[in-house]
Amino acid sequence: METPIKFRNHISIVPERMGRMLVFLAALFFGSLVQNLPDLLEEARSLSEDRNTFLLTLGGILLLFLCFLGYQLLIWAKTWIYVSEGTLVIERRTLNRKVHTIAVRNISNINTEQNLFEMLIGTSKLKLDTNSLSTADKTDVRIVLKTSDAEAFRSYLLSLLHPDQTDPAEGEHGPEHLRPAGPDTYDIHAGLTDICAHGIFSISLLSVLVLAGCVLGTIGAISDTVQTGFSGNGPVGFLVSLLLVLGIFFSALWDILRGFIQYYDFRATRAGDRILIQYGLLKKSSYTIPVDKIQALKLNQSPLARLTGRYMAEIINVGMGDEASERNSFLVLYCKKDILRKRLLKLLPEFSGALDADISRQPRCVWSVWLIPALLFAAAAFASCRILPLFLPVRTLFCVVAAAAAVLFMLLLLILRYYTAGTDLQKDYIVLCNGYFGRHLMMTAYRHIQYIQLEQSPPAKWGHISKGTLYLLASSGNQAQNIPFFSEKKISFLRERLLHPEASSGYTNPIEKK
Amino acid sequence: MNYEKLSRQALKCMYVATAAGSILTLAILGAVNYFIFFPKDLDIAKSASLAAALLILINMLVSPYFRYHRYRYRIDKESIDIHEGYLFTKRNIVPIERLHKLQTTKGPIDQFFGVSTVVVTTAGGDVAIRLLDEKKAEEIADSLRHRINQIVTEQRSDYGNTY
Repeated sequence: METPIKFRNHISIVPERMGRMLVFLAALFFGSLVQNLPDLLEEARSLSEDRNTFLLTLGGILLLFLCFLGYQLLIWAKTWIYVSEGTLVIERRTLNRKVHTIAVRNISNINTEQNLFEMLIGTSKLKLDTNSLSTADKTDVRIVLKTSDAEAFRSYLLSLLHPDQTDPAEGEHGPEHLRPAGPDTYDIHAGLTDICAHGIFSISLLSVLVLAGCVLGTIGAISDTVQTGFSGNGPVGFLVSLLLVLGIFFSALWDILRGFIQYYDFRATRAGDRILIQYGLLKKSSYTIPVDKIQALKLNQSPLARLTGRYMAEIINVGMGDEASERNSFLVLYCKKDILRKRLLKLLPEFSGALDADISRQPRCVWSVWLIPALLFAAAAFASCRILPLFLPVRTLFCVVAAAAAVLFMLLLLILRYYTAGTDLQKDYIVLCNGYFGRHLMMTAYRHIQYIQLEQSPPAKWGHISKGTLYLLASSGNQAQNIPFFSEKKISFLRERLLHPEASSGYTNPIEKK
Repeated sequence: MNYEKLSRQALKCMYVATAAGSILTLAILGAVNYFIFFPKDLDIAKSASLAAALLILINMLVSPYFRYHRYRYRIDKESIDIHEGYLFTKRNIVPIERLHKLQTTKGPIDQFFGVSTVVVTTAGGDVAIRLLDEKKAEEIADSLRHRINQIVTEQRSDYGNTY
């Protein structure tokens, strides 16, 4: 048996982890500073008198920092990585001895990532994800290596993942040779216009409202202060409030700007049986996704995109969207339908039928199902008009207007739901459409569905309709997919395709064809 | 399709479990009334509590009967199919091929009535076949375990051919 070559993470993992801790401490410090600034200013005088206590505290913090540094160095020195007999092993021989063994065939996503620090020192983070539900929400393995070593290791893992790769384009140089050299050789390369359009169409209405609220609130507070002077906590209190508002403002602003910056230099291409995606300005990410590990395709339309006929495509795959800042796993940025069709045909032809899905609206009797909850909601809204004035200083007329507005909004939602949601049970795929103002289409092959749960309320039973949920192997946000109401008659077809997905199937997976 | 029903012991277990839950909820409701609603003399809240208590009592008496009669399951070589519910019914269809793991669990009330639950795990989540007679649960668990092993062996041999 061949002796496996063992290697460690790059030493830069230590300062990077330390940096993360420092950022966390700084955030904690700043948060508590903002909250307790007036009290701290009062106490500052007594602190300068008691210098020894101050130095002791500082020494304690330094000691804690050194202990943490020593611990991180120990972890780095005692962690070894190697590949042996088709398994990737990460062995940590510290006091808490851990051996993490992953079958290479179960890897669903290989991602390399570079933040600003890593760009400066020439390292990359290799992130691996496996087909496992228990770790679907987090990255299974993170390895930091020199960029060239990370690329070489990724190529090696890919060659192990599909050793029978016989794509003529690939030649003898391994799958990594398929990675295009420049941006123009990718199937899709998003220019500045595409990024800006994507940013505009993906703006969250909530963020805009928060931003507007912050601006209006700050203007109001400043104008009050100018007219009446500082009140209550004085200038310090005013400064603290201003800092908090600025924090919320910049958070909402970042949420909007992120759509423009995050996918800078977005490129995607199909290389044999895998899709390669790269993007990022401040943090460069590069994904390699085996097509057979893609569980589903999502086509999204924000309200603005729906009005202008634009779509955006995401894939559901274990490993994409693990990070809080990368919840969306983009495949194609917002573009017109015909452009999306062309791009999907290049990148993921297996799912290109999603655009032409013949979505059947929910049966008309769905209104009888919605009637009882709608009446209950209206009754509760108007009943609150009698109850609220007993507890709160609000006028009954104001309550009635608010209740009427809530009921009208609910009616609007029901109408939008009726005209948006639907299903298309195709031979090999199921397409589900959900949404209210926006539209969210999800297409998956029956063979990727883990199980189905169907639900019926008494009115739905009388109307012979059913709704439900289908469960996929995906992170928690994508695991359960709602099936809108559909005719009970279609259940037997759905069951049959779920149990025999390959029977008389036209499903073409390039890997299986080989 | 032939579905199997639960045993009479399951019905008794449902009654006892529902009664235990209902009594606990009624006790909390009573405490809220005693300490808050009655001292403050909140008429609307007292009426709402009374209505809620009545609903809980009706549910305690009626729901186990309907849940028991609605509950049915079918396990064949291809799938597990479970119907359950009271007013709102649910049907779970799980292809046997997607099973990864199975587990048999028994709570204190289940143990008293000699019933247990078989929980099957897929890559998309768990589904439970509830309140089965212990012997029946063991039989089901054994046959499913055998089937899972068979599937894993088949997959390994397929993998061996390509890897």
